[in-house]
Amino acid sequence: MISFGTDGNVLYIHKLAVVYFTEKEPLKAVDDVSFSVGRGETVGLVGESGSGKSTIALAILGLLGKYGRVTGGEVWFRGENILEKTRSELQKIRGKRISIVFQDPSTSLNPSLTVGDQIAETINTHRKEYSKKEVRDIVLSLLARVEIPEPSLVAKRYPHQLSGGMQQRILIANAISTNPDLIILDEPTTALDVTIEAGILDVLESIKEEFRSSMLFITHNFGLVSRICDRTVVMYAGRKLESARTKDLLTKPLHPYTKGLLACIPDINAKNPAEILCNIPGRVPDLRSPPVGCVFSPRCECAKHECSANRPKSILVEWEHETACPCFLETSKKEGLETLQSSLKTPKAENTVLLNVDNLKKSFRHETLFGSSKKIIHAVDGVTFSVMRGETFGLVGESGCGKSTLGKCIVMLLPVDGGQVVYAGRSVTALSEKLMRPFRKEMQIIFQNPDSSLNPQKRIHQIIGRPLEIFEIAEGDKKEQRIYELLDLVELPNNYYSRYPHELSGGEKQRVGIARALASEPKFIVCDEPVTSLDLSVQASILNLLKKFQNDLGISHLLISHDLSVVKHISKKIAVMYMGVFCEVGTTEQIFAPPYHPYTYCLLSSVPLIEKDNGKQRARRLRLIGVPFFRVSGKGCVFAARCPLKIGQICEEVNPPTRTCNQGHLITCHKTIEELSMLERLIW
Amino acid sequence: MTSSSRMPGRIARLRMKTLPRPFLIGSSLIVLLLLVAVSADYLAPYPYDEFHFLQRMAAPSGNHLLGTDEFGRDVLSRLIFGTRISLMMGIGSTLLCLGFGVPIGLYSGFKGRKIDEFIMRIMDIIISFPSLIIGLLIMVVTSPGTIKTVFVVGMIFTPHVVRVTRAVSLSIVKKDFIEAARARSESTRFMIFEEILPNIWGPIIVEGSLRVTYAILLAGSMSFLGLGTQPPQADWGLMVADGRMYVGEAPWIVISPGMMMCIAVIAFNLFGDGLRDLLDVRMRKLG
Repeated sequence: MISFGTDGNVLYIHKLAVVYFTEKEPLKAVDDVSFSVGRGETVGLVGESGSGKSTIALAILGLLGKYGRVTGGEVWFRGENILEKTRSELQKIRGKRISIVFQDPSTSLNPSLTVGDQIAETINTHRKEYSKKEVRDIVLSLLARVEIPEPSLVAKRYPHQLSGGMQQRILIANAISTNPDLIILDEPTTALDVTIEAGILDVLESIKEEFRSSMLFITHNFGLVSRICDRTVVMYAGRKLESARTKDLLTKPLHPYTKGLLACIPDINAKNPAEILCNIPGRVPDLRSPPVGCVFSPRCECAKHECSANRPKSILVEWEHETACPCFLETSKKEGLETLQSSLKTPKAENTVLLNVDNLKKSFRHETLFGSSKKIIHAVDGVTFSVMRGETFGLVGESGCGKSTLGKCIVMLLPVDGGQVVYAGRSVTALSEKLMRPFRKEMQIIFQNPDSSLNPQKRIHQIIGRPLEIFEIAEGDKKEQRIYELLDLVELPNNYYSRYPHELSGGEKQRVGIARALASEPKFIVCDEPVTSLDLSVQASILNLLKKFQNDLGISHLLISHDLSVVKHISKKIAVMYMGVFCEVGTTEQIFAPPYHPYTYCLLSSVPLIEKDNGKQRARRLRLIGVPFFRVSGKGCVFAARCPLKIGQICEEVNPPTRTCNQGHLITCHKTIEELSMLERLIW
Repeated sequence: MTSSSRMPGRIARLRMKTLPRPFLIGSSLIVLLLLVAVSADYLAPYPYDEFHFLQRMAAPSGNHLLGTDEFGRDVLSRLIFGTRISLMMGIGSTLLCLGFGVPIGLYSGFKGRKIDEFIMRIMDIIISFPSLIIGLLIMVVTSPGTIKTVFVVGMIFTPHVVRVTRAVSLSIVKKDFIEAARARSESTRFMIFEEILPNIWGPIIVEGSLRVTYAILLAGSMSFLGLGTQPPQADWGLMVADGRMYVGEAPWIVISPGMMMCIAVIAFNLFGDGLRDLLDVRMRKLG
């Protein structure tokens, strides 16, 4: 840090330490963290879960709760040490001088007040001089400021009547209502879809320019950091490992952890993407008894003896670039990666169709004893595609587009309403459970949430062993041996055999879920958001694992994800889904190059990219228009109401044609292929 | 129910010193109560039905440690014999309502939709009758007796257990591991008893330990109305009911059975709470 004083900085944190006093030993959540936020500056606080980033935010606001306590250090805000303030003094700062936006907008808003009243309440609390009418006008102008259409209508709505993105905008409007010096944003877009996230970021950027307020942006997403933060602090296990100007951090990271983390991310924009991702082995240390030396040393490849013995000091390497690794010069790229890469067999994709989905339909309606309601939700509305043997088919779409429903319909966990699923030449749609059984063995599923996918009362060997029993694959000693083989396959140690799920970390649980799916020796696996709930470093290793199975075992996957970079990394073919229908289907190269379907185009232009090239400006940003809704009538294009490239009446009234532009590249849109080919290429 | 047969094994594997203290207190109280119930014939200083007309409503003294009731019967002796009947009715009818209620609740929660709706509406109908009225109805048309009281109380409480079981199983049914079980063609029986049940033992046991105490009370009130335990036999509820009229002159008649009920309630609750924690693998320390 250049300026050690408090002047010029809105926020200056010096050697902050926070301890949570839990039932057992105290937990050191934040330890010796220093950084500053300058006037008008946006500082990113990046780290995986449990790195202490949210704790810092709470410590700044004095909201640690009854178990958390600041045990050391200072927090200077505009030249005053906040930690020495009394409760009532703090109350005057909170909300007025420092405001915060939390991750989940649905729990941050009061469900029984209109959103307009909630913002007015904040203004009234801190600025008593305004009259009722003035406050109302301010509220409306704030709502307009965060780009809410028809502010006067929205102000009278209750939170549940608004979408998640709108709710988050309300909270941002609330946060800027008192014109604070510092806005803390704690994962403000994590719960939102990428197109909505992009809109929120647009708003934040313009606020940043207009109000010159400082922001502390807490996130785990390097793309967001790249887009919005001037400087970035990397946190790990409660310590600061590196801080630098964002561009420096992303282009020449110094700390092995930062390097590893950046290499873990499947780069959506890479010209020659790596087949295998880097991953950081091991897990985050237990902060009840943290390592004596460097917190990262147990997982660090280049850790030396002194790393685990002495605590490294922060070294200022160059202008504003600090790292807590004394051996940053020696740390080099991974060597193991090449061997891993070469061990990967070339995929043996055959050109025979394994699975054929034909005009599949599934709708939901509320049922009671006395009939069912009229309101029908078409979750999957006529979807057709096929998956080849040994191929990974990616399915991308935002929440609520019906992608998970489609996945469950295919493995017959949900009955379908129309169309059929043909597996290896036989229709499986209307089979009884008894006839379905041989297909169940061949078609398995991996779930998103490892906490919910494993029965907490069963041991690992019971979980993995059950498919072996029920499908009569192995018994007795052979079964035990097979379970060990499966543990090996998902790279879990043998002593996990009799553990319970709660003794495992999230990534390890996900591995058990994968081992269970593999136990029945399936040919086809539906992976429903397999890495969404995992941390970056763990995500990479799971993706590598999936890739290995695809190549070595010749298993076909249907990979469902909202994350375009994950899908791009692993799939050969991709379908883009919106409100129950496919907008575009094609090979990975076809999807990421023009011609684009307008929705694909919006999605791609919304993804926050990690910009490593200097000064390269992003292509024109295209955003969805309007608000999400459920289509009522069955006619017209599903995307018409939100399409920024809409032609006119025809879109709303006539079902769009599905055009083939290249071999296997299908786009369902009224615009011609030529028109869509004119769109600028967004991603390489 | 294969899982239930595994329960004792699970507990046996734990060492005594790891047992939480409330659980130890609760279970030792229950053991004590059971011992009293079993050896009532040896423990009681007088027969439960021996009248001492000269010592009606005598205050506690050396002869009658807890005093005598309105007929001059020894309260302590009646209390000891009453323990046998009260516990039998409490535990018996609880086991009965759990035995019926848990499977029905699990099935209802697991099946969902119309089957669930149907079962739950039937339970609503049963619950909407005041429990005493149903009890009376059944007991009036047949001859009263202790065993029959156990059955009637068990039946009356079954819908309550169904509701609790269904409610807690709903949160488990939504979990992905049930989906995973369906993806490998597991039978309904397996999913209900092997996948869901082990996860809801906690609430069921707590419900069960509460039911024991409710059952003792309900059985007592039936006895009071002359339809359960037949005088001169004694159970705690009956003793409280009988002594209620003399509270002013001889409070000891009511106080001691009341205290016994309290002790039983606390014992069963401590026991239930402790058992719930012991059965949940997540409460154990990391290995």
